[in-house]
Amino acid sequence: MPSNTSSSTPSVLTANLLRTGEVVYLAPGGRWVPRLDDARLALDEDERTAVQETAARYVAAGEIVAPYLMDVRLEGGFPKPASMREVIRASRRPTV
Amino acid sequence: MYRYDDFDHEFVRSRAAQFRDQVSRRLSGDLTEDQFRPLRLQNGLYLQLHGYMLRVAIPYGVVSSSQLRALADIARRYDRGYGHFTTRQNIQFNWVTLTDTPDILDRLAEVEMHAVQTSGNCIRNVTSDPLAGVAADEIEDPRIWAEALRQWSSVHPEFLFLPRKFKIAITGAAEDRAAILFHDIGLRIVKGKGGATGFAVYVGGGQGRTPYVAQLLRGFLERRHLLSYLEAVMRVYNLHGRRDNLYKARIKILVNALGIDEFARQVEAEWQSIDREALDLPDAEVERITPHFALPPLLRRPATDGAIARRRARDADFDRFVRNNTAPHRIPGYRIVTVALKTPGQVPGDATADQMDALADIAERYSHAEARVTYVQNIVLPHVALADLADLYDRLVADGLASANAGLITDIIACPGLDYCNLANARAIPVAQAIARRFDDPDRAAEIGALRLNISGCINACGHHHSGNIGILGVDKKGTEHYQITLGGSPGDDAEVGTIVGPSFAAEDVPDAIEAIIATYLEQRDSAGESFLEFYRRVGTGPFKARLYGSRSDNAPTRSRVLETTIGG
Ligand code: SF4
Repeated sequence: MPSNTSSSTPSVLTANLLRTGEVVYLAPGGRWVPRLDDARLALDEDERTAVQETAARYVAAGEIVAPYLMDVRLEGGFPKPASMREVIRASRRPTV
Repeated sequence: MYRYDDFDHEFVRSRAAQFRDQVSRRLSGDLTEDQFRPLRLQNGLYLQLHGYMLRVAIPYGVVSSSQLRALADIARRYDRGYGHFTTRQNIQFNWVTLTDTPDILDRLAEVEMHAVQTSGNCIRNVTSDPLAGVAADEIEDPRIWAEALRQWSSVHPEFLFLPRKFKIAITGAAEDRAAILFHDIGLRIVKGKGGATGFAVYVGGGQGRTPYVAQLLRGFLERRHLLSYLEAVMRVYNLHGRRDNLYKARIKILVNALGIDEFARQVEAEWQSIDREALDLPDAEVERITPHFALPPLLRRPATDGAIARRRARDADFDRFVRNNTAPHRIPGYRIVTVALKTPGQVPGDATADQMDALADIAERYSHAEARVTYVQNIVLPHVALADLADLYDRLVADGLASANAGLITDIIACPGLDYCNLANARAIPVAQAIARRFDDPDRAAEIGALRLNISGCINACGHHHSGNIGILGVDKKGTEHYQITLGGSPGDDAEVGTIVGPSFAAEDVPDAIEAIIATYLEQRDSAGESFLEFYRRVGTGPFKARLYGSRSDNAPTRSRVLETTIGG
């Protein structure tokens, strides 16, 4: 699974829903949520591996496609996108 | 315009049905994403930054009122109410779902449209002169041959898995308005000895990471041999084009590796060995296609119109519109009208569902229900009576479609960039908007004159930055959006790849940089008659560099430095 992360930064697993294409994030309890705020944080290698394994199961089940890990920074404990690409994706609309 | 025959109808309907079945197999788990991805791409459905994007083919840019209404309907029912006209004369819908796509394809099939071969390593939609069939400078209508090429290249079994995508453009006019020299194959209808028409065939042009202007492969090819000759070109490419390296797989790399002479020799050898009779288009088929492109019945009208002249004299906006956005029609008393989807501040090439419906109505009322999509992301109404210009203009004003800037600095080409595209390094649309707003003053735009300004969000160059008189390329510089400026590109008969002027600029500095470039030109040009491109060709990058970078120590960037930025991004 591709990964856009560096090892020292927290990350979040993102993907698109197969049926709609909608951008989603993996949340605690294996739910897929539209808001990055609600995403599950992966803070170390073990957690990154765990969320990737979870994602792979949902890929196999045909619920999501194109999963990958993305870097986030924390603001008040909430994940915020670390790149303009992920800012735009998380906003679910173009900037214009 | 061309109407489908029974075969076309059946083909498009069956492809839509086939895709419906493939989608249901994907949803039921019978197909994995790896198995399904090539199938959805063969039907123009991409997974982009925000979700699925459907690219619909508009063959050689010709679209009817009923097709525009269907596109509006799709935008409204299945998307967020708009679509994006692309530099390949196609339209993209940015917000469709996988589950709706089979219904969208059925809707398209109803109006003789589809999304087949708008993706993948096959021959893509053939593009052409948006003024085809009506331009005053035309030798012969290229659409007849564009249509022949459409039929030939559609599910051509030999050419569905090429080393890389393949783009053909064709023009029949003296002036190239289809950027044919930036295509894998560019075709120009020319007159040969004795006045018979044929094709000049160019090969190996393209933009992207390694931009090339196409080279002349054959100065004159008899019309009747077009298909067999292109078959030979495709076979040489299919056999020898590189499949081991994505970045070296386009025909331009092969042509330049072999040299044009050796490439031509191999094409000739192949052509001599194939059964031309079996491959060439039978005369009967040419005769069948040709009437589809006959001019509509245009009543004879006076070549001048007093009321229009008077309105021009008293209404500066209307006068500007007529000057910039209309061109002479073959038939006196008619004009070709460009509807620029470029009102400063709008997203270049975007049209709302309401605007598409309005364009459909306007085309029906004033242009024999026909419109064209241009590669500069505008719409052309090909047959407008001179006497109708004022009414048409008033209607366009009411619909927010009367931007009178065709061919000027604010008529910017911009790709979707990072606002939509999965491959982007940087945004293109907001930069286009900022520049268009900066040069919003129509008198200033008129003073600057003809200028092509093009923006791409990454090195793939869908926004044609290489061929812009001013080109802007988005790069990722340590995680921030930066923009590299090139000067001197040209898409026309004098095609040229632009030269990088210096180090890149932060997004917020781009309008000032463009301002500095324009000021340099306006202050130093010989006369108002010297265009930006002519000025650049006379003086080179020197004066622009001096203005942009002054005594900055880094004002002499090298190509390798530039490539580092883009590849690293
Ligand atoms: S040039 Fe790059 S960013 Fe723009 S549409 Fe093409 S691939 Fe996307």
